[in-house]
Amino acid sequence: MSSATVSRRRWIIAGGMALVGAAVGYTFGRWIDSPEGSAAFPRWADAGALFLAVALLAQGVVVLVLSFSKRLSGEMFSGEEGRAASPGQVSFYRLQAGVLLLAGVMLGLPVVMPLLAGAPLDAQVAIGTMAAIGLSFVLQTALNLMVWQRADEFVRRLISETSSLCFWVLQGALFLWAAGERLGLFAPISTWDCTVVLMGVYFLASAFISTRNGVGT
Amino acid sequence: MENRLRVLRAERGWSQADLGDRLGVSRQAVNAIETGKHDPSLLLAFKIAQVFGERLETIFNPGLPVPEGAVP
Repeated sequence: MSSATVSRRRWIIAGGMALVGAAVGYTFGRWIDSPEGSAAFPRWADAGALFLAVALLAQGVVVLVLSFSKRLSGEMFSGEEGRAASPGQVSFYRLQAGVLLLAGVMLGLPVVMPLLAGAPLDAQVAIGTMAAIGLSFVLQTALNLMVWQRADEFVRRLISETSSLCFWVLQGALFLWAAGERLGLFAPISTWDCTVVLMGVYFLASAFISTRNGVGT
Repeated sequence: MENRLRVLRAERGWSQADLGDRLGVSRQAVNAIETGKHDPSLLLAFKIAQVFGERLETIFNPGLPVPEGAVP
């Protein structure tokens, strides 16, 4: 198998993921627009959170599954025929998968639990869910720190640039919205709404910065 | 910043991933340096010079004007 074949396979996997994502997004969007969907998710932020959670979980699963094949993950990430991932690379991919999966869990639980257990949530269930989210948060923070420590200077720069872009976009948007809200022009938004917007902006900023710096080529 | 990384790598028959392994960075980092999307830190630049056995200034060209009276 040549490097061109490896490259073609990377594009097929990326294209396949994009197609699946588009199909899931379209189906989800249609359902949200329906009376049943609107009843299940009266708040736009809940629908957005669930969509982002599914996207994060899907990415995490793909990276995790790839990491179980040294050859496949090595070829996918290096673009070179027959190059197996080193044990260090495999564990780095698994760390990244863990970060993605836990982010998906944290964002999805507050929306999914009321659907499963019935809203409003029983106090015990709410406390249990919050404990699970808190535990996930601590674990994900630890994994994020490990990713930062093990990343090279280029990846660290991408993370820093993504964070800077998010800060400037979000602090500007937050100020403008707060001013409009104070003047009675915009509707009040909750911290949950803000969190979902933050995660969505981070998702887009991350893709933009990565593409701009040639990641994936 | 311009550099001769791609040429030096090709002369040795190394792939981007091979060079990344020698430098302890990802293939994406090597690709970003070669395409001018990332300027390496001083430490990484010295490592690159060491790996190729060349002087730093023969690999990287910051495009700075040469000051008057500077010794070449």
